[in-house]
Amino acid sequence: MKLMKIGALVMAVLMALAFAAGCTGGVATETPQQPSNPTDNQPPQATAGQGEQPPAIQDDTIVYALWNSPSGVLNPLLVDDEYDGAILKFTFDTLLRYDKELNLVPNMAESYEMSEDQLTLVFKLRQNIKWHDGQPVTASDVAFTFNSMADPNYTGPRYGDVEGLKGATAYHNGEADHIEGITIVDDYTIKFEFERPYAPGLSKIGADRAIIPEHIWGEVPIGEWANQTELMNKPVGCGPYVLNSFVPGQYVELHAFKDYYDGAAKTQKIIFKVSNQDTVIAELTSGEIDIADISSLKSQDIQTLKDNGINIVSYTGVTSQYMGFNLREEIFQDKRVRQAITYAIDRKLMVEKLLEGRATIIDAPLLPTSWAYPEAGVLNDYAVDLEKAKALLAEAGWEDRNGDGIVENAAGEPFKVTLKYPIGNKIREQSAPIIQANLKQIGIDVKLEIMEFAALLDQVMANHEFDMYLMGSSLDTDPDPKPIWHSDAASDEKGNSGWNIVGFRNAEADKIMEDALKTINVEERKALYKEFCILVNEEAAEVLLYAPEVIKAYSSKLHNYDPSTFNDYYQMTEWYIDQ
Amino acid sequence: MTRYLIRRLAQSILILFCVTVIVFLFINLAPGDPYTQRLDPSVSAEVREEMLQKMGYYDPVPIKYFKWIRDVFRGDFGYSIKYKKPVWDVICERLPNTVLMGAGALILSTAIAIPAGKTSATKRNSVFDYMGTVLSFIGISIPAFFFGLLLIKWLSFDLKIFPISGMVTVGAGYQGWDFIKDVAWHLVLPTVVLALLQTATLMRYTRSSMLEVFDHDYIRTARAKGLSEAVVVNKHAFKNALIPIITVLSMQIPTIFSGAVLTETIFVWPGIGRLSYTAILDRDYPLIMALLLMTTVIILLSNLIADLLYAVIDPRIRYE
Amino acid sequence: MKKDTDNGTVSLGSIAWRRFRKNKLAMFGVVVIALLILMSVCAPVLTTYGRDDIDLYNIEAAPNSDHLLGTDELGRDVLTRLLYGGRVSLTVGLLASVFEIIIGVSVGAIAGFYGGKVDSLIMRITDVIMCFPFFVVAIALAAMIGPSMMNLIFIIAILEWTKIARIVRAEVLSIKERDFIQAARSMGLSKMEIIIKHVLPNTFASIMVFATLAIANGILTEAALSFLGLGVRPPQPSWGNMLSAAQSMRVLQYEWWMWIPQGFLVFITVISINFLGDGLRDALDPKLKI
Repeated sequence: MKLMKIGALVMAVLMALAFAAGCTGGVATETPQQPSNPTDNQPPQATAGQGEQPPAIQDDTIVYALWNSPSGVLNPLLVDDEYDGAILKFTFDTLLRYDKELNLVPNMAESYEMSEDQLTLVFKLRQNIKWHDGQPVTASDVAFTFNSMADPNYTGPRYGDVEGLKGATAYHNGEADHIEGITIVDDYTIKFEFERPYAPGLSKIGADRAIIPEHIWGEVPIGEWANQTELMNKPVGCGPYVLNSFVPGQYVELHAFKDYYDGAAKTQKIIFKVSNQDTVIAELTSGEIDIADISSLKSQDIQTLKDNGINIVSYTGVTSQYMGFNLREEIFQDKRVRQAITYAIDRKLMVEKLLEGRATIIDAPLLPTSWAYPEAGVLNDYAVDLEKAKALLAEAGWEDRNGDGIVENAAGEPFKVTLKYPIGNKIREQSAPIIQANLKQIGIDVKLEIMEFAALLDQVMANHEFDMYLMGSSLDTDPDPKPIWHSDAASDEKGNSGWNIVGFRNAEADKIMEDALKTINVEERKALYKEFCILVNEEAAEVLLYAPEVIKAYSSKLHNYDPSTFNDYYQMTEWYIDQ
Repeated sequence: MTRYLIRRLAQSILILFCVTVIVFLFINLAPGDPYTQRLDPSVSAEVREEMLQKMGYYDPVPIKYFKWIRDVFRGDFGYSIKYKKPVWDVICERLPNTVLMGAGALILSTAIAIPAGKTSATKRNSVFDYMGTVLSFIGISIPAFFFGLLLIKWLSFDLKIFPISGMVTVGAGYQGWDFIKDVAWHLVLPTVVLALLQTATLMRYTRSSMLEVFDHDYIRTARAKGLSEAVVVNKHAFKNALIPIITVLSMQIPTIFSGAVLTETIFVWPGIGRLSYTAILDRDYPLIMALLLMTTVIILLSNLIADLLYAVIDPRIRYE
Repeated sequence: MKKDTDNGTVSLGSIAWRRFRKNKLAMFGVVVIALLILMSVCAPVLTTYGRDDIDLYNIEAAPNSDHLLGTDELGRDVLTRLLYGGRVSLTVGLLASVFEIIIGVSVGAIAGFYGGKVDSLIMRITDVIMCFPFFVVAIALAAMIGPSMMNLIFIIAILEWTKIARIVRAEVLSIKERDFIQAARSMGLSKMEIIIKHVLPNTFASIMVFATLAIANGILTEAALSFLGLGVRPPQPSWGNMLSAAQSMRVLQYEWWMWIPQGFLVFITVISINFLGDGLRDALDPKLKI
């Protein structure tokens, strides 16, 4: 009796739960369908070069979802958080900016000139730029910004950006009172001189770092910048939006800057709202959020959004995922072993099924959309080939000698390795068991070890304690692979970390990378990077997995929203929402 | 009693000290540093090491601890590495939100669990008892995550009764009374979800200690004397069942401050739980230590209050 | 309590067993737990799929005749993983709660019964452990001792026993002042005897409630700790990590087989232990008539 009662109750409750969860069919029909199919609905940039004219009446607020709260460090020289970075894009400005094709075009600077010898760079500023507090922007603000990065007391991470300037090292070491290579020619002209030709110099100085106001930050000793909570939480920039209110953990509200040099932005308010990826579909559909990054959602979710009249845009992101080998270990020093592993991992299936096709397989450590990425057919695509993989392993001396399914070397030691990977990226977490299964097929026994990111970096990057690891790498607009692949960036000493985590040391590659930085001629650089890619591809120093797409969902009422790789907020001053 | 109180408070300071030493050690044993995971490869290893040097990362642990405790005695809890703000400000921004939700959940769960537990015990093996048992076990067996999403899906999305996430309607700019109403509206679902687990737990303990008391002779005597059932249950039995209930309640107060990570995440409620969790992942040492001090004080206080309450409920319990 | 030693007479033990057997709910609990253990032990015999057999062509398939409970995000058979998952979840849930109870109950009973300085010292140590922030300790230990199931059980037990210690101590404080304990004292029974024979049985109800909660808590905590690198290594399944992998709106809405069966197993384990405990309590209660 009692048992039956309880059984019935359990069933009833569980069924109620399942029912509540399942009653979703209604969603699609409740919301009116958009007349046009959202998939074909190109972002409205097609209509006119400068964007459509906004109608007379408009809802003047755009709500943009963030997955984490900005920390409030709103100073371009101290920032190290992507969510703060988003706010900075709207409130601060750069000398140059990237156009749709990633060419550098005038922004705060109305023109710039690079000398023949590629050593001198001169910017001419517009004369009508104002800080949010009404002060004019001049060349001395620019000089102040870049000098600060090399100041001996500076605590932020950006010294590398100016390191190539003449006299930067001297200033950084306290042997000079400013960077010799920065000269204020007049109020609106500034000159930068480089020690030697440096290809990414233009983008590093021109477009990657925003200018900060000297009359505000110059008042504070640079060593105490990090304690200026007030100044950072209520930043004075010269970008198209002014920060109106910042409520930690909840939202950041920006208002259009009336005196923006390029004319006030079309939308009065932009609100960055901290949201949750699990409920964002509901918020997008109900109109509480206008723009959200939905890269981590599955096709089914994206379809739900489309069915509800939400527009979707996708483009290649700036990160790629890879599996690194510890090249310090004897087992991985044989190129054939690394190639065998690459041949065994079914990247195509991984992309097709796990990422549902929303990623590009890569064979070189560059973004597939970069100008430097070699054309198709140049690189070995390592299409899955188990026979070849086994043959390569056998050549390298690894064969299954005792019939246990695991290959052994001549000394009878089995091929057992550990794959370490961090938490935080669901797809990457799921790819680990796939790699494990793939490698099992060629007789390699992989143990999986998951850990949080800080712990992984400590073990893998700082102490070099790993066999294989999974990680993503985030790439810059300039394809320069030197920070990750040059032997100078590698370290074998425990506790001494280097970005060349795998420990790749190749004199030929080093030389190519160095040469490629000495010219700004794109064709010359392209040829050198092709050489580099072929070399790395042949060496198989990492198994490059895929570069996932970024997917953004946005309200069908939003116009002129046209993001692309490295241009997530492209022409934000043109965005507007109609009623 | 006063002497006891003074002694306990003195001991509390000693415990506080022990806890900070041990946890400080643990934090420093945990691999990782606050910068590496936040910087990209364009920042060279030298620059990163220089930054770590400047914050004293490479100092020996005892020196680090000494510096920290010295500053604490001066009332300086340090600057958060991530928020670049005095840690006390970071905590204070979120503390009211946590107290709001936590107090709501505590009141709600107590208001439901104690009467429900009592009824379950008095009407043992009734439909109500089974229902309560099954529901409370579902509550403790299925992560709050599912329950939270279910409520959002049903009440916020389909029926549009409650807001989906956050603490306020962004961009509405409500003031005064409207603001209070807005926050209250946003508060409902997270509070219910947070209360779920506590209700289930508290209800089980209430039921079991009531049943335990019912077996005792004095309850039988009371019943035999012809006292009404309500008097027996509420006056005699409940009072004697209170000791474990107080204990459990006193242990639930600290959980509010740390145990609400999932609820805060689902509902994007800007509270202490999620702040603590990310502070640990970010290795924001000053923030972790300040949060630790705060929770330690809360735990010690609630334990002390519980100990004092035992003596109030049961006068035979004495502390010399 | 007493061992069934004296032949001929009806011992307390056999009375208790007879009572227990009559209690349908308690027997139900025993049978279910036994079945769950049996199923997880015999997992390889009960299923034709391998525990970690990935099938990317068959991801998140709804239950069908090949996969009775569908497949997960890598196309692995959910039923198979549930069977194997029981090994981790039941071991961790049951063992961790047993250890917590052994430590917590003895510490709590001693502190409560002896009182004074002993109580003070023990409870202040308990306070210190109670204040340890769970994740900080977990991350530090994960790096120091690495992943293994025994480490995991050890850590859960070490950090969680304080709760039952406080509960038991509080009850003992009150119980020891009751007349029958005073009587036992005046009869000259040793303190240990009094604690074991007279004090602890009166805290049994709270201990049982704690046990059920601790099992559910252990099963779910295992997932969180494994996720931080301190528990079972992926891809080894457990009910907890299957539940946490399923945490998304999409799964909740469309893929019930990814969370309802997992949650149900945790639920049925906990509720069975609860019935079993209730049955035990009634069977051992000297005041109850047969």
